[in-house]
Amino acid sequence: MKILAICGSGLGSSFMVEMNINDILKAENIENIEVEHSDLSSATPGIADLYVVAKDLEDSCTNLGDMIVLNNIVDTDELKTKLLSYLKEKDIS
Amino acid sequence: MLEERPSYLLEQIVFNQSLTIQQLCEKTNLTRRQIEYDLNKINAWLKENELPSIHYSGVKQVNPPSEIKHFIINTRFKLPNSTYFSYDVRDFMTYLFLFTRQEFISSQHLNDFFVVSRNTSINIIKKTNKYTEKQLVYVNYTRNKGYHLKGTEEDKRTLALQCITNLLQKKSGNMAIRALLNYWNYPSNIVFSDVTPENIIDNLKHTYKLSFVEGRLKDFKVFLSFYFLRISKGKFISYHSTSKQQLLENKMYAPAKDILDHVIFTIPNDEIAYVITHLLGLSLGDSPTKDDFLFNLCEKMFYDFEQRTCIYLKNREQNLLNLYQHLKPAYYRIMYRIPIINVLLDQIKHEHSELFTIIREIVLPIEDILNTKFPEDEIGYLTIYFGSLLENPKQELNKLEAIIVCPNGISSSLMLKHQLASLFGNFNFEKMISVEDFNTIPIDSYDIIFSTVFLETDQPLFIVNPLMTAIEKSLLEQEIYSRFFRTKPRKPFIQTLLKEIKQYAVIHDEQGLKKKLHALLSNDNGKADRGSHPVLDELITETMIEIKPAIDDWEAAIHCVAEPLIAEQIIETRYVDAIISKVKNYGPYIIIGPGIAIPHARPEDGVNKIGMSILKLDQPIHILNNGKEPVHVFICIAAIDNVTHLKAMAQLTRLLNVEENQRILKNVTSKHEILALIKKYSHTEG
Repeated sequence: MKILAICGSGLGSSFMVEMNINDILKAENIENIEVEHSDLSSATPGIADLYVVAKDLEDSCTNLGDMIVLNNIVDTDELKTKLLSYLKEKDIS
Repeated sequence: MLEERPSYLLEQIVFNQSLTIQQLCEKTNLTRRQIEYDLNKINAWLKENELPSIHYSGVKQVNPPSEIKHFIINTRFKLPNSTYFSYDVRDFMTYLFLFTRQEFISSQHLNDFFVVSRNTSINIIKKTNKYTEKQLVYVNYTRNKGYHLKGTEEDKRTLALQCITNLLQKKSGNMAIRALLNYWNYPSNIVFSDVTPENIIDNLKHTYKLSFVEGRLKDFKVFLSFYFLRISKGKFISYHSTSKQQLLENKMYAPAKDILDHVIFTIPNDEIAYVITHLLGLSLGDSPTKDDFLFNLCEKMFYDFEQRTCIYLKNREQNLLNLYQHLKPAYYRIMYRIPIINVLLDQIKHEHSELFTIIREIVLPIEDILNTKFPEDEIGYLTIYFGSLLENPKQELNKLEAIIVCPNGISSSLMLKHQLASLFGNFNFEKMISVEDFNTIPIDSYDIIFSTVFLETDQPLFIVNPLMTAIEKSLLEQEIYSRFFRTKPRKPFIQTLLKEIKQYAVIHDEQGLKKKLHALLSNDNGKADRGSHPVLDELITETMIEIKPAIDDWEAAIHCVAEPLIAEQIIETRYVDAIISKVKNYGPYIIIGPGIAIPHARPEDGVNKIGMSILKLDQPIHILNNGKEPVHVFICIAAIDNVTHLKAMAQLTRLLNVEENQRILKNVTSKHEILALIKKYSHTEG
């Protein structure tokens, strides 16, 4: 499966999220998940299975597909809870 | 008395057996006429000393009678007065004369030594003082002490080394040095019998397995004798106790002590420390340990060099090691002010001025560490070193061999060659061959293949059209540059494309097109090599940090954080406008966590160079004045593409992930606290 972290410019915060997702996956020993980051305009439906965005972009991303919305980008706990519960729901972890 | 030029000639004749006149001309840079003239003088002098003369007319080789050699070895060099020294060596000699003085010196001593009049002696002293005062050493005279040197011991010794190095560049340098040492009856009463500097150094090489910088060894051997003479009079150096202790703990302690054990009088520990500084500046760096900061500096220099020259150096490990061996002694020479003279300096600066300038830039980090200027002579040596990397034919740094393969005849390869050559000046496009011939040429005779069809090969293959479109060209350029030169091609390129497009089409959304083109051309997968990108503390330096009590509104805050980046021309003012208008359009996307924002826009919004800056406000401010999310800390990010900033970005993320760090950032009162935090994260992996 593939996760795409998205932010307005595809330069800063999305990369931070990508890193944090990778860290969490590694800590949980979850393999075979590809994580990438991009800007909003490059994100299209179908290029990833799960999209992770910050709250301010939520409205622009509604039709992409499965989505995790973060209130605080640098809060790894929030990301971890939401990501793991998503993966559990999909029976991946 | 024999003058300098005939003395030199005589020495050449005596110590090189059986030279022809022609060979002598080459060796001495004299004309045949000059040699005959000098030989006449020599023969007259030999006659005065009741020696047989040297036959030179009508003979094939000049063979001096053996008595002359004996005489010269046994007597002449113990009689320094029998040689006349020219002006250009007298200053240096006078200085060394005073440096090693064993007794009260009056101008009479100089009259005798140089065989000159009293007036000339006084002039020599004046000239010497002019030379030495630049180095804060003065030739002084008092009734009590006679002529003597005034200044710190360290300055005096550094100057003595300079004089020796300068003397050894002169034809009569060796004679001058012998004359000086003989004057003081060196080495009697100084070192144990039969010890020569050669013995001492050879002994060190064997006992301690040291390797020395050949170019400096001769100067050092000579210096040792003068140095021994100097300390024999109790003229000792003294170090601050901590730096002395540090030096004495160095592994050069034992060799240094060995050297000083040859001296028959007792000497303080400070002198061992002093000899250690010399040995450090003299011996090649041995294999570096992993965390040797000098080795890391070498790596950085290599990287900077490649960056500035856009040349990728091969044999990296071996070359790094060589550089380390060179740099380590140079580092200590600069640190301990041991002079080195590069006779080729003017030539290097003239013939390799670009390289010289580049090297001058890449040594800046070392200057920062040592807090002193890197001498030009040393830069000259590094220039030679890096230059040799470029000239080594095995490196093939600049010109890569490219071949063009074409299935259907020569005309399309010619077309290709023309286009490719204009794109890639760094390749040799000599060979154009057919598909059938392709398998017959050895694989190591080329580095890259351009072909119009697919081929089976292990070498990099690029499939191209005989007539490339602008987009194809730019994609190819991008790919080749990143693959072979690890850099981006020249920038203005999207502008050129836009201009071309405008000629044939009406553009509805120029910004949009520009953005799309950029994305298309920057080969962006976010996964490129993050190894060679700047780290956090290379970007956020002291000047990039601002701490303010409060600021009027959020737009001003963004202007404020961007200020240092604008000042350094890292970004243009329009980049700030872009950030502000984006925030207005898309919402406060720059807020990444409670109290922390990373204002940034896209590279094409006016970024010239990668950079980051920080603004910390004691009084937080609301972005878009929405009353939510007050921001304390602004970190402005300027990215030139999608990858170069990622390493630093990763480190920033690591830093911000720790809640404690967020708290620290919001409460700092000094730039140094921020710098310390940044430094801590600048070596973590991304």
